Amino acid sequence: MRNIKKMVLSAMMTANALTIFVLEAQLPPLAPIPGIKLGLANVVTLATILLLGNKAGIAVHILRIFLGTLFTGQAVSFLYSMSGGICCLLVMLLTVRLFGKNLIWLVSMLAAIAHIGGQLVVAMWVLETVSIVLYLPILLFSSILTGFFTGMCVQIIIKRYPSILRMNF
Amino acid sequence: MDKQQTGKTSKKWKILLFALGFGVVLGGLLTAWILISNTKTSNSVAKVYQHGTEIYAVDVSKVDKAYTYEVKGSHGERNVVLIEPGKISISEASCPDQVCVHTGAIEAGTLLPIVCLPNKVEIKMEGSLN
Repeated sequence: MRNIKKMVLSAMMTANALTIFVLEAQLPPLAPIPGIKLGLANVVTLATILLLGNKAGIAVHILRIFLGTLFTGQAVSFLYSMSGGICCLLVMLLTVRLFGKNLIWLVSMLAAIAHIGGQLVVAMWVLETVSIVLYLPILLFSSILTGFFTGMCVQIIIKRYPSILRMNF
Repeated sequence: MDKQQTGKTSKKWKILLFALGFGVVLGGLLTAWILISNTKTSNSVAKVYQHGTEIYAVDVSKVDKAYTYEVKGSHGERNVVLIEPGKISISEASCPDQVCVHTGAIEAGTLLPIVCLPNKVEIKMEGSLN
C-alpha cells in the first residue's frame, strides 16, 4: 500500500474488527449447533471493502482471522475460521460492486451463507463424514438472519453518510 | 405528483414481497430442520469416529447399565462419551466451545450426529455393528 493514510486506517479497522471478534467470542454459544455465530466482525470487513478498497478489505479480513484465532482459541479453529472467512471474503468482493448501495444487506447475507458453506465443506472433509450436512437447514437459517443484520449495520451507516463513499482515503 | 405517490406505494409492496419471500425461505428451513431433528430411523448402533476413523461402536438398545468411554487425542484432546440405556452423549470435553456437550444425548434412530469439531470427534447412529 503506497498510501500511509490508507495503511493506518486499515490498521485501525483491523484493531476494530479484532475487538469486536474477541468480545463476541466471550459470549456463550447461542445454540448447541456447531458453527452458529453472530459474525459481527464482518461488519468491519464489509465496511473496509467499501471505504478503503478491495486490497485493504482483504488485508483487514485475513489479519483479523489470523490474529483473532491467536488471541482467542486453539489452533484447531483456525482451519475452520479461515476456510469460512475466505469464502465469505470472496463472495463479498465479487458481489459488492454488482449490487448497489441499497443491496448491501444482500451482499452480507450471501457472504454469510458462503461462510457457513465453506466451514461445512471443510468440516466434512476433516471429519470424513457427510452426516453433518444435516445441520445445513438450521445453519442456513441462522446465517441468513445474521448476514442480513450485519449487512444492514453497514448499509444504514452508508445511507446516513452517503458522502463517505466518495471520500478518497 | 401521481407518479411519485405510486412510486412510494410500489416500494412498500416490493419490501413486503421480499419479506414474504424470506419468510417462506426461513420457514422452509425451519421446517426442514424440525423434520430432520425428529425423523427416526431404526438404527441403534452408535459409532464413535475420531478423525474419520471408527474407534468404538455400541448397540445402545442392548445397554442396561450406564458407562463412560474416554476418547483421547494426540494433542491432549479429550472427550468423555457417556453410554446409557438407549442413548449416547458427550458428558465432558476439552474443546473451548463445548458444543458437543451442550448437544446432549442422541437416542437410537436419531439422524443428527454429535460433533466435536475442534477435537474431530463424531458420534452417529448406524444400522449395524459392521
